[in-house]
Amino acid sequence: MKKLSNKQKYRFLLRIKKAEKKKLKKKRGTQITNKTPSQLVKIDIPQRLDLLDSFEESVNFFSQIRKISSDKFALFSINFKTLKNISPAAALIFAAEMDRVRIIRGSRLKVVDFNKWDNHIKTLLGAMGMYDLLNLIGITDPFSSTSPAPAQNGERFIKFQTGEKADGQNASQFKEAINNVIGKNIPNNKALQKSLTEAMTNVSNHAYPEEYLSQTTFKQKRWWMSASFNNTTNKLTIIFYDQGVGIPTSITKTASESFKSLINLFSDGKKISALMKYGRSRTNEPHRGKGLHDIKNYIASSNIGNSYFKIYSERGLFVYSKQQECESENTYDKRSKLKGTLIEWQICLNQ
Amino acid sequence: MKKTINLSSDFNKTPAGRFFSDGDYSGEHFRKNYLIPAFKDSNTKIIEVILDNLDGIGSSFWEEAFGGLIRKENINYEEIKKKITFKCDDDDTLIPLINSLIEDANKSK
Repeated sequence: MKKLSNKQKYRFLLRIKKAEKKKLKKKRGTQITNKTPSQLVKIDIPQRLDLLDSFEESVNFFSQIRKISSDKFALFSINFKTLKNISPAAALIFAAEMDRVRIIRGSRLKVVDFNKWDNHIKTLLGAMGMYDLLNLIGITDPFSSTSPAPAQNGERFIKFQTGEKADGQNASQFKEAINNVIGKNIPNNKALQKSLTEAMTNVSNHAYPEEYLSQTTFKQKRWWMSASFNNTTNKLTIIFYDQGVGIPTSITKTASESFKSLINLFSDGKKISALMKYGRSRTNEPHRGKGLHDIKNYIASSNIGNSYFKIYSERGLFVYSKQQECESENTYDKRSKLKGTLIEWQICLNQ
Repeated sequence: MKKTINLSSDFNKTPAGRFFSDGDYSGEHFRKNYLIPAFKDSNTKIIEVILDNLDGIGSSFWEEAFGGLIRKENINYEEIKKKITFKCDDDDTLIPLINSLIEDANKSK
């Protein structure tokens, strides 16, 4: 047999490589085209989305969207026509779930039958910043150039914001937006800055451990926040949400060996309470966790009566409330599990 | 020689976060790029850190910046106390907080 020259050998190898590449490309293409089209999943929104009065229904609805988000190609539709009322906290979680779907898919979501939605809901979601955040197809946002939007039933909103970092500048601008809405400087301004930036730092450091991120299709350490002010009751509510592992799971995983056996006996509500009480002093990271004190401290350190601080995480709810000088802490446990952690601060501003 | 670091004007008015990965103006950033060079400079006998004109800054930032000197950089407590001084005229809670974080880091060493 004739011996091949180096040049011929090189050309021969190149041809083999090219043929293999073509074969692989064909195989990949076949996989996609042969994929059985997903069945359309139809999801109905409960009439009322609210963590206070309809926690179980709301959380179960959010879980359905989360399930859908894990499949990038799943076809789904959400029937908005049934929705009659939505609280700011539920709206933030809902917006975050939809944002997650949008980010995973890398494409804009489409709205159909917008004209059939409840008029109050249409305006409310626009004022809250849902359309701005999601950049939806098929919607003309009446408030896109208005920030903040006009009051809805006496309630004004600071539009949804989102980020992945502990960004002091972001928190500072958010406070400015609140000042514009309430028409004066927010009380205990520095304590609020601490609370917000520590909540962001907690997200970056604890909410999304690598082990958790490796198991989900969503790879970002993202947080969402918003605020609302009621002109009638003079109440300012600030909400902060992440889609991470949740405090009960996080504390169980990082607890020191001696504390682990005890913490495992606690319900989710008690686990949050334990973390608020001990910080992370009983975990393997004793120098961390002082930030939780800062998060609560916006309410605890202020002289503002009628205020509260809440943490919803997984099945647990921790509530710290302050009525004038009287402080109380309570924990509750829910049947359904909220995926992630929602923090809510509410203060009643003086006239 | 005294080295003065004005946190607000030399670093950032709204720093936040513990690690570099948390954001642009984290405690780790401040420690590594501002405090440590000052500690390593043999001509610098005193590092004065000015803490005025800051927006509220969370404990994570302070703990990582100053507690981290003991936990991560192995600088001993006495040297820190001898070398660093703080000045703050607009928030009387700040200096005691930072001192307590340095002490905690020393205790848990």
